[in-house]
Amino acid sequence: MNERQDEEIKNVFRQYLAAEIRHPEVAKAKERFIQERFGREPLIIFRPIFFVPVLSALFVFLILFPMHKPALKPAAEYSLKESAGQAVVKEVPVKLQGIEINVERVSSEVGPTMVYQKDWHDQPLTVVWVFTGGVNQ
Amino acid sequence: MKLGSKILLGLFFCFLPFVSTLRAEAPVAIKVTAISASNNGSDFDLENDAFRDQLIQLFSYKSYKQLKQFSVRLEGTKSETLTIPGGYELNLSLKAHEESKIRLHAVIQKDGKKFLETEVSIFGAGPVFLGGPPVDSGNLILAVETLG
Repeated sequence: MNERQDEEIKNVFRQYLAAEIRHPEVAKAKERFIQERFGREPLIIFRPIFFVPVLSALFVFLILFPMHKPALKPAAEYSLKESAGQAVVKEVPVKLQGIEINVERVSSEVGPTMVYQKDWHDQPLTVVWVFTGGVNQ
Repeated sequence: MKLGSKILLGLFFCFLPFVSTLRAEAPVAIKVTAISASNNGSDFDLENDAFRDQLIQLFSYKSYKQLKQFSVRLEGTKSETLTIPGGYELNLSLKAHEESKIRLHAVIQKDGKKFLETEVSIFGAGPVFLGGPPVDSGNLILAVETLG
């Protein structure tokens, strides 16, 4: 066998093997083998390539836009629900852009008074209250 | 510049300070909603749906019933008195008014007694909830808003 014939035979084998590898039946057989041996591949949404970037994006989003916006109220602020029994005269001005409500003065001839402000949806809700039933109202 | 133009310009600057005074005396429209809040039942009978969420945020009553709604125009030092259900009167007057900021003086009284007297500066629409006096089997809440 001369060198030229040897090269031709090599080419035939090369082409045969390449065709064999690309053959759909061979690909299916490989897939079947992998499934039987290693189990079914998880869906893309359960693969790290998918959920790692999604979770990272969600994390960044929650940092930038927190679900619960912190209220602009001092720690010492009272709530009517919590302190309905207390005699408190308190002024807690909430200052928001374009909206401002300040209670300058409160008084009553019948009982203790209370001023309460809460920032809710960028709107200051203000309550000026009198406890007519005394401090235990 | 001619003498006439100078006089006109001078008059303009003379009267400029009064322009803000005239604006300060423009009437302010105020809406007052009288609400009875109680723990009897669980009804929300309010015309303004926005109040529902606001009241839930502020109070722990189970039932809110709108008693009456008023619209008044306050001007200068003139005060307005509203007759509130439950035998109360609400006296409103303006203490100051500059552009969109007002200082409102409000008194809730009954039988000569001042239940609540307050002075509130409002920059924007409000609302301010004044309340506490007993009405029906609950408490009176007055939602005070300024109308644009």
